[in-house]
Amino acid sequence: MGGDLLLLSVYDIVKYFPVARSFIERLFGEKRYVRAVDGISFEVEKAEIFSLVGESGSGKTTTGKLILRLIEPTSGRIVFDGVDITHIRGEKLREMRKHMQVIYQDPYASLNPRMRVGDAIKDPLEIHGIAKGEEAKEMVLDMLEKVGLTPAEDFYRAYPRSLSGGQRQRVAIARAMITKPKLVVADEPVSMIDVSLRASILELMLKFRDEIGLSYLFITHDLAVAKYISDRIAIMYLGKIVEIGGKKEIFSNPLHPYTKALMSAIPVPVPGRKRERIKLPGEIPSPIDVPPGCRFHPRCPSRMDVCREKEPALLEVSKGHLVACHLFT
Amino acid sequence: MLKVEDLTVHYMGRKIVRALEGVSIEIKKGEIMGVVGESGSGKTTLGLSILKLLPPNGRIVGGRIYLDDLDITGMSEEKMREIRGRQISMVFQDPMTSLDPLMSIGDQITETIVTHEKVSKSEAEKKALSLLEAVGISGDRFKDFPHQLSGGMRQRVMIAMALSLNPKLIVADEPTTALDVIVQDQIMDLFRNLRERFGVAFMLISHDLSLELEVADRIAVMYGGWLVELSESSRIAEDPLSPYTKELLAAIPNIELEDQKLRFIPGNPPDLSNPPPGCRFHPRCPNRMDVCREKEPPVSNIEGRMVRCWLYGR
Repeated sequence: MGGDLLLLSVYDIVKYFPVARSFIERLFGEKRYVRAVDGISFEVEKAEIFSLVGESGSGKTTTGKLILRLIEPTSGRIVFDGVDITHIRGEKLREMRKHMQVIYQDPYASLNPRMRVGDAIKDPLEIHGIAKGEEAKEMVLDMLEKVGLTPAEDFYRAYPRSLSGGQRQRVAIARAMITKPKLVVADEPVSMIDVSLRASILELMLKFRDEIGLSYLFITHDLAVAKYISDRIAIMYLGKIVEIGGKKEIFSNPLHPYTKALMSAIPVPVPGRKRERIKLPGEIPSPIDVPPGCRFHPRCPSRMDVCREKEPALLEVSKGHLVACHLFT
Repeated sequence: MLKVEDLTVHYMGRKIVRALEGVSIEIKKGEIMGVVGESGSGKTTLGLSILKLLPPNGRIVGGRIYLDDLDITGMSEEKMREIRGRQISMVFQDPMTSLDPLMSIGDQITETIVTHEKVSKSEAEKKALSLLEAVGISGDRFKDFPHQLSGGMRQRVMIAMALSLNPKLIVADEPTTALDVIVQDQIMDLFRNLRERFGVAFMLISHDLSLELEVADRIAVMYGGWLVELSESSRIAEDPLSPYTKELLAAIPNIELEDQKLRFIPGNPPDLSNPPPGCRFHPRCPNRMDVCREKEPPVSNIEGRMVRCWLYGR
């Protein structure tokens, strides 16, 4: 990957949360941790849409928060636009935030109900000293047009309660885009949107990518949505990336047994379809008790002896396609 | 077995919300009936009406609900308690709201059985154990508490509980929406299996048409409080009649398709306290005609398929 194309590099990032326990347990037991993110590395290029796909407990949301610097990593390094942002604070962090915005899943919770839509979108402009007063208002009206909330003057004065879920998510997108960020972390941005409207939100996000050349870190549990929007995809399981590749490779040639199982479990809109389902036993275990060796081995249909003992490294099997599985080492 | 005729439900308040209007649906023994719709489509209201569990401001203002020819529409709460559980039971999206956190899962199922059936405690326990095993939970977890179980296991417990009085129908409202896809797949296998084993019918309410197409025998498509189409899943997928169903199908990402172009339906779902005149879908419909703006479309029967749209009405 050319250095000038690179926007975000994450090196071996780790986040452990201590488990709160009783006094006695703390006296005698060893410390226990939720190993939410357990050493992951990836890169995002400029104008690229990179998806983190995983089930609940996979660590995908924690990874997003680490990159946004909303929580401190236990170890590892995050380099954004050539600057190591792992431990920056104060003014530097604020400056960085101008270039890195976020869109959340729940458009009902992410907007202040007492703030008019126009003010909510204008807020980041004033916080970052980009514009104020009439100039800021013009920019907001312009942005409302861009996200399809017209007549813009009406939406400017509206309160979130009068908007539908889809419209609220458009407000959230407008708010994220107003500072012309380089990276937007989008955490399940369409999961709560009605199916009939999802494509309109995804297309809006694609439009901004094409217009301002920003990148997305797209976090989702939904492989079908990831397939629609992404350039590259990383599949996460229990705090680790198990496979990374271009969208085409991941879908035409999935390698990791977990990726294959995940894909086979997704319903396709075909009635009574008897697909080759790979049935996995049980559910994703707790990130407190991570299985030894390959953390997927207790559920893996292709498990070998080595999987119980040795953790597989994420290795490149073909150009740009990496997998962490002993079947390929 | 279950017959809903021309059911209309309103939520009373400052404004009347016309949540369900003129919905007719029949469910046969052992059938998996999918009910699909987006937010505000009335799908949950339909499920709650059948169990007579509408919130206090919800009123059945028209229509009838029959269970094996027994009219339960105006039935007293006391009598309904006899029906609920024994005849029809329900599984909700979030099992944690329905499980008692302070009681082991085995004891909860046992209690349900003892309260409703004239059996000894040990017999009830035996049945609870076999129910847990039927839903794929090993007997040694009988004494586990809900918090010790994963989300998927809790939903299995809810299903075991719903089965405990041998109902004919289980209404499952978004039973897997909070679960991961692999677990969702496991639960759907379980539904199919229980249907085979116990002959129980399911009303599977979901926003996810892909899921319904895979699992359901027939699908009822709802929009804005109306039933707009009802037919076999295969017909819904291959030859949908209603423009809403067609548009919804075109909006679903399919992981098996290469370079899929997704469509979306412009506009927003209707405000049911002030629904549009004529057809409730007309403001968003690509096939809209003049009549759609003015008059409500009739229900048509096209070769045994139900559709409510002026394209087929006269």
